[in-house]
Amino acid sequence: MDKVEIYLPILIMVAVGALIATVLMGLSVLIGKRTRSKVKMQPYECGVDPVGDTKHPVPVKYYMVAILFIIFDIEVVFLYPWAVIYDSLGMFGFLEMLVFVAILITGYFYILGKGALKWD
Amino acid sequence: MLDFLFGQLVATHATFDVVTLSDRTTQALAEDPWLAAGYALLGLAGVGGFLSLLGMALIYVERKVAAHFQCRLGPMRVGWHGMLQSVADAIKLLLKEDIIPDRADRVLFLIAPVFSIIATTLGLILIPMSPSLQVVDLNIGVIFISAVSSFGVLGILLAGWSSNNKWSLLGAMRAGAQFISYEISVTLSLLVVTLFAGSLQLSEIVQSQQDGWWIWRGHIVGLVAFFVFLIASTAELNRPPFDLPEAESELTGGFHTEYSGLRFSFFFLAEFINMFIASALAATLFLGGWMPFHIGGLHTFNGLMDLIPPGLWFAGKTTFIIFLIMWVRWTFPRLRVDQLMRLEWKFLLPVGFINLFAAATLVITKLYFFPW
Amino acid sequence: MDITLNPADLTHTIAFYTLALTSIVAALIVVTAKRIFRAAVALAVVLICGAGFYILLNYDFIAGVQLLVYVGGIVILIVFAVMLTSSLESIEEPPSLGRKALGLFSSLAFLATAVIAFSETKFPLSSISAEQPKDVAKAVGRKLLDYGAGGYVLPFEVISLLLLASVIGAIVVARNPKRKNEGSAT
Repeated sequence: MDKVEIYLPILIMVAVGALIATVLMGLSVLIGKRTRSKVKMQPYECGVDPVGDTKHPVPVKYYMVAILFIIFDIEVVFLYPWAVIYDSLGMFGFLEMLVFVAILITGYFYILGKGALKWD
Repeated sequence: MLDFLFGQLVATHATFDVVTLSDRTTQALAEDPWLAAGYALLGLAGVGGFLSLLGMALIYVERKVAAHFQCRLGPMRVGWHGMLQSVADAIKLLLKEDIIPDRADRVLFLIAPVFSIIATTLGLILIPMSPSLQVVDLNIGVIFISAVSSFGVLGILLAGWSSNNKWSLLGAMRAGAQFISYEISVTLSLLVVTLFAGSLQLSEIVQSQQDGWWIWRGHIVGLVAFFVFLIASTAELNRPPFDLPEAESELTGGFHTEYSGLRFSFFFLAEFINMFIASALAATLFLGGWMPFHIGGLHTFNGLMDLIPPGLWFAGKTTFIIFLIMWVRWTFPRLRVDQLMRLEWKFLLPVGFINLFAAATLVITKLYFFPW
Repeated sequence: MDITLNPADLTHTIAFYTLALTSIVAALIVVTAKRIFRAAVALAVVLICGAGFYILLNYDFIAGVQLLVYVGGIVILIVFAVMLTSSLESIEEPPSLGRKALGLFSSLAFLATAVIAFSETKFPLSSISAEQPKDVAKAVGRKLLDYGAGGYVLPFEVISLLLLASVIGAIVVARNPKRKNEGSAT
């Protein structure tokens, strides 16, 4: 079977899923009663009037985590093709990957040493 | 002696050829387009029906399990032992007024739940439930599932941002950070199985466990990978004890605070189906999926095990893991954010890497547990 | 050149043009959207379409990597950056005339370079399709870990050094010791 055609069901699934979701939401709008009031449409803050806006400084550490994730993610992506053919590579494949990961583990210890993973 | 007694069973030893629904459709397309259309419709209706029924069933089971853990009865009123409670809830959610806050970004607010539910559906159709019950079987199944699950978190980030609500935004930030942190550990344990099986295709991974499940043949390494996968995917699902993104006592509803009615139910449904996908994936990778319990070489025993149909094996294993996840939920208290991050970056990540190299050593030295 | 149009080719062509159209429209939204978060979502669509192109070329593993790293990683990073710096109500101001001119100039220059490069380069189509690997992940792995001629094991190990450099760079840039306890919400 051709490889491209196997993705066709996925495409159809996305299209039909989006369609059904939209139809259901439309249905719910039609069936449900709707009354608007100023208070109801306010952002929910446990019953009190909303204070200020959502522009609130978010700590940089979240961004830090995202950067570290991408670096490790890219590394892991290189591990996939290695894992698939590992059985036929033998000892050499093991050493290659040991060197690859060891270099990055140095980076991991650097992160640890700098305290970038401290979340306080 | 036993082999002699059950000689007939050995003769009927099953071979398990995988035929996916998309295979059937393509084959039928050449002969009879109407049959192909029938298969395609069956697939669509099946996936849709399965999605909604499974979601409702899981919600009911969760409530019952929770109740019995707390010495309550749980839902009892609607139907026998409250069996129809989820149906009533679904109708209620459909009839509820849906609210879009004035200050929200309307376009993104409407897209977010659709994003979530589609990501979940795409994960669901890849799960091999039995040799003949799988919608598509991709070459890169393992990678595709983890890629698709990150679409789901994009939906959560979208929801949190577009609501323009402080609780939602904080919940979304937490969900995002939590997901991407634990994604690495999930991938590292997926890699262990990829190493063992030498394939990324889910059906091939199942078939590679013909001589014994990986948790059994991979002994310590398999067990460690299984638990790392279970912990990390519970965290990715935002389920307690990792439910910081929607911690009621701190963030009211978290990222879906502003959502109501049907749109809320999409998130709710996606969350429960994602739990099923994670459990099914754990079962497929480590517990053999639909593969019956085999011990390589013991033909009589294997023949006996083959008498139980593969679909039942899959259902049993998945149910067991779902129960495990629910059990964890009602046993452990919620973690703090710093504890959550420490658990991943200082414990699970190093453990995952060490385990990966242990697995590599195991494959080289062929130190598999029985059969050797 | 003789091209016979069979149903499979027709599906490919339709799929290609659909993907191309979607990615162009989404790319236009990326650059014109006034709300930066919408631009990020449109960017995710562009990247997903990119994965679609890889699938059309039969390189499904590369498509998976594209989804995993770009949609699952880079887009989330961008979303975090947006959340870090702006709020929902902040709307991009229209750029000044000078910046518009500069942008127009650089994009036209890039377009010209791309057009020239693509028209000058000869793409050996037939030779590629002849050696289409059956399992892309395995083929990539063989090439990547092969130390003989035609293997890429040295670049592969160097990638690891590159990633190490980016780890250190990320820490140096993001960890500013002077600004401690910025923002209390977690």
